[in-house]
Amino acid sequence: MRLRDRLRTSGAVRGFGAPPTRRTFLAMLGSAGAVRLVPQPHGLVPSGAEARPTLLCVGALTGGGSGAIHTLAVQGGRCEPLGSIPSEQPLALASHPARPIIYAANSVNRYRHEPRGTVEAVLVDQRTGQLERVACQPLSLSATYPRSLAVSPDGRSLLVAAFGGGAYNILPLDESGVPGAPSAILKQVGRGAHFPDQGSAHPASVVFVRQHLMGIAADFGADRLDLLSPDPNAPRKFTIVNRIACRPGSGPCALALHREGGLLVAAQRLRPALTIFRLVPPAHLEQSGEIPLPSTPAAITWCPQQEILYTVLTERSCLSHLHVWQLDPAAGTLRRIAEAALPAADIRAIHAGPAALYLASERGLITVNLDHTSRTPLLTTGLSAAVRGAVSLAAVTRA
Amino acid sequence: MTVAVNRGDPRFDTLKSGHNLRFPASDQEAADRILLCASADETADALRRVIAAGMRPTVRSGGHCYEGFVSSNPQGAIIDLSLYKTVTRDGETGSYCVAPGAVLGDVYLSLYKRWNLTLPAGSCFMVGAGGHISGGGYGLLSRLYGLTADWITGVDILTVDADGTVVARRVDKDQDPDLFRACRGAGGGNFGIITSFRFEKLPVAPREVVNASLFFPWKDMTEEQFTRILMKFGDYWEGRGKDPDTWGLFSLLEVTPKVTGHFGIHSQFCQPDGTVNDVSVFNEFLSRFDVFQPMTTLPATAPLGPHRLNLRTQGGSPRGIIKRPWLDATVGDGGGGGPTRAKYKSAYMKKTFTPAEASTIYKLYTSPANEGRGSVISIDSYGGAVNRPGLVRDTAVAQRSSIMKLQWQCYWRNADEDSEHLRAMDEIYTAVYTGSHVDAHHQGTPWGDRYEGCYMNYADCDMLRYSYWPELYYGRDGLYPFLQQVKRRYDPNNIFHSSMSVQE
Repeated sequence: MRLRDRLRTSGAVRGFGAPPTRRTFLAMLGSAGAVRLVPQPHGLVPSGAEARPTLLCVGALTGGGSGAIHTLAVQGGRCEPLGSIPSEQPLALASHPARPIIYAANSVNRYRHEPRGTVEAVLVDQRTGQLERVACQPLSLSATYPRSLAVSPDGRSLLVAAFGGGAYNILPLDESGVPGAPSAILKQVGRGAHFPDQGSAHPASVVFVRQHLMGIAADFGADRLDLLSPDPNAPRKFTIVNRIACRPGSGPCALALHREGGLLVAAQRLRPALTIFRLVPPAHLEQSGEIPLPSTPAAITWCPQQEILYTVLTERSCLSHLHVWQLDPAAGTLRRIAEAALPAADIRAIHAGPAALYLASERGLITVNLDHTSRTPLLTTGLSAAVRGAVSLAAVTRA
Repeated sequence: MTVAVNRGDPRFDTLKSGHNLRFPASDQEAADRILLCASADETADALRRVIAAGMRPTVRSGGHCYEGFVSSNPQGAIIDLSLYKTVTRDGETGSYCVAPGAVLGDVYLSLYKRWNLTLPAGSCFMVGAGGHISGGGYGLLSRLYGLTADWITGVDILTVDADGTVVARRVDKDQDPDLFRACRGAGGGNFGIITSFRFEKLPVAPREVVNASLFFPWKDMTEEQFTRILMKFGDYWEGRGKDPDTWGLFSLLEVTPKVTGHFGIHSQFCQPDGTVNDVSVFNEFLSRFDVFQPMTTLPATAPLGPHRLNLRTQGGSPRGIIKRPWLDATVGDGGGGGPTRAKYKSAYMKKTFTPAEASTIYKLYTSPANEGRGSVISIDSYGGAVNRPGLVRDTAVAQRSSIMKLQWQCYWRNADEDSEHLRAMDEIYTAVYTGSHVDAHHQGTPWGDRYEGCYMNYADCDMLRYSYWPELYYGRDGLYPFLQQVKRRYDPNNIFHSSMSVQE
């Protein structure tokens, strides 16, 4: 029996609409049921079909301050571990738009004894899934604990959000995708309403707008979104061209940019909500809606093919909740169309493939198959425990 | 009006570096902009612009930072205060005010000529007050009068709050007392930009001093003799040197490689009343070394070495003692030297040398392998008024039990020699602090019963490899956690940072 059939389809939750109370939300969950994990060593998930084979890279924390990056072949919801290399603290991954390279933001505060975070570049063998570290680039002094990174659409720049140091770094990428020393360093200031969490600027999430070569960043500490563009006179030097204030005390923590580039959703952690913005060229964001959430958003991503947004919310219990939202492109609003409970409270990242969702969690990689038509979750799910401590995800096309 | 020197300006290549030409290590590491400010208002305006541009500000007064904390600032801005160098007296409060860009030589001249006062600060004429005093500031009169930071009664400082607003503060024991304490010795580049050091009172300048040098030829120097000299020197400061009547005595034992031909002890003395009517204390100290039959002058051809005393010994007088006006002895020769490539290290010592330490130093400095490396150890007398009780609670200088302070120095000219000199310095220093005389958990560092760590004004990034490096510089009695609190409160965005700044 498909989970979808057991889901209670909720009513439309439009921007600034009344939020469900905790009690009503839990009641909804009760009627919605939960996704059941099926631990399997590998070769999981029978149903559905990926459009093309994909290599999924998974950053994992292995304990004791160490980490690893794994590759898994995913197709048709099937996960097969292929390769692995040690890493430091790969809290975020991003893939190059044209080359089989992924970049890991190492959430560390020391590089050769200096207070710096680092970025690793890892070459992915598209045929075998084997990994080779090709560079470890330190960030600027005091740019510690990087938490997010994004590659520019032209593949020439890597934008890094240093959460701990309150700074953005732009690293130039050479022809082969190897990062160099920061070509732009933007030290941030600012604070939010919640001390000490928002005692200073904390860039937390970055994305690139494909159409405009513009970066957008969420500053968790300062309650704002920063828009970054290349300096016309020095393309490798970015400057902040606009700042968009978020609701005071909201704590924007994650961004998801719609594939068309015209719509941005910001997840807010401290006042749990999704805020929807329209991108107004050349460099402005206009808020089109806000949806309060019943609990803290932990991960967010768009479905690459359709107007569907997935969010994972974390409860204090051992559960997380997967919400599925339908976009109304004309109105710039989201309507929740499905939800499901997931038996893990520590989901840190989500990747939407054509046939399945992949969720990085402490227990491993959770696969949630999707209904081919509605993109809503199916009952059949799987857990790849080979990647315990998973915290970040990125995909590379398989040869 | 603030002077902005950007890349392309003909002055940029000169002004991008400070005294230590190792920094910036490359053009990419250099700052993008240098802003020369001549007043507190100009400094505040420059800081606002730097913050608004998202640049990292580093602050320079005299440019003598030993590491690259100022000059290595890729895409950042150096706020240079060298044009802000007034030494004045506040007409309202009567406090003496020293601007950060004033060099110590000018401070001495101004304080002396206007008010017959002085500061117990350093001996290099061209060192800027801003960095020197921020790190505590000690010199030839410190055994007599304490550290410069001990005399500060107020500080004007620009901080940057969480919103990025530049805030001008006047801090003292009543206003922002935590920040005030932190400004008394924690080191520059941590909390804000100090635009004025304020002193309600200052010590009277000595009228005159006596100087003397003793030189010991390396030629026939045995390890046993060398060890005895070092221990005799150290024994004095651990024993007799603690008596207040000796606090006007400053001495440095300068160990240079055997290839230089000799090493020496260079001393200055005045009585606590600032005169030299009775030099019996001085003679008593110098006579300790009679048994080694030191020379009191050098052949004209002998190299003088980089010691920091303006010594001109006088052949023929007993033990080469020369009496000089204090001002002449202090600023007479300018001093300081020009920019060069250099590396420095430091160590505070609470006790005299052990035979093992002396033996290691002897072997290293007589080794042919070290002949060309140009390293020098300046072993300064310390203690006296510096170690008066209570100061450790009121200031940010933790080292209040030491009797000697060592500065390890190495100078060279060519960039291609960097790695060799840096490696050699590190090896020598580590070797001296390795062995049974050092606590088992702190091998390679001056820490434990005999030592009191390192001096932040002699910053040494090699020490970062030790996880406990803050203890070396700030002790283990709560000063560093206190400074971290101050940092979080007054610089929440960590605007002012370096690889060795106070870290969360």
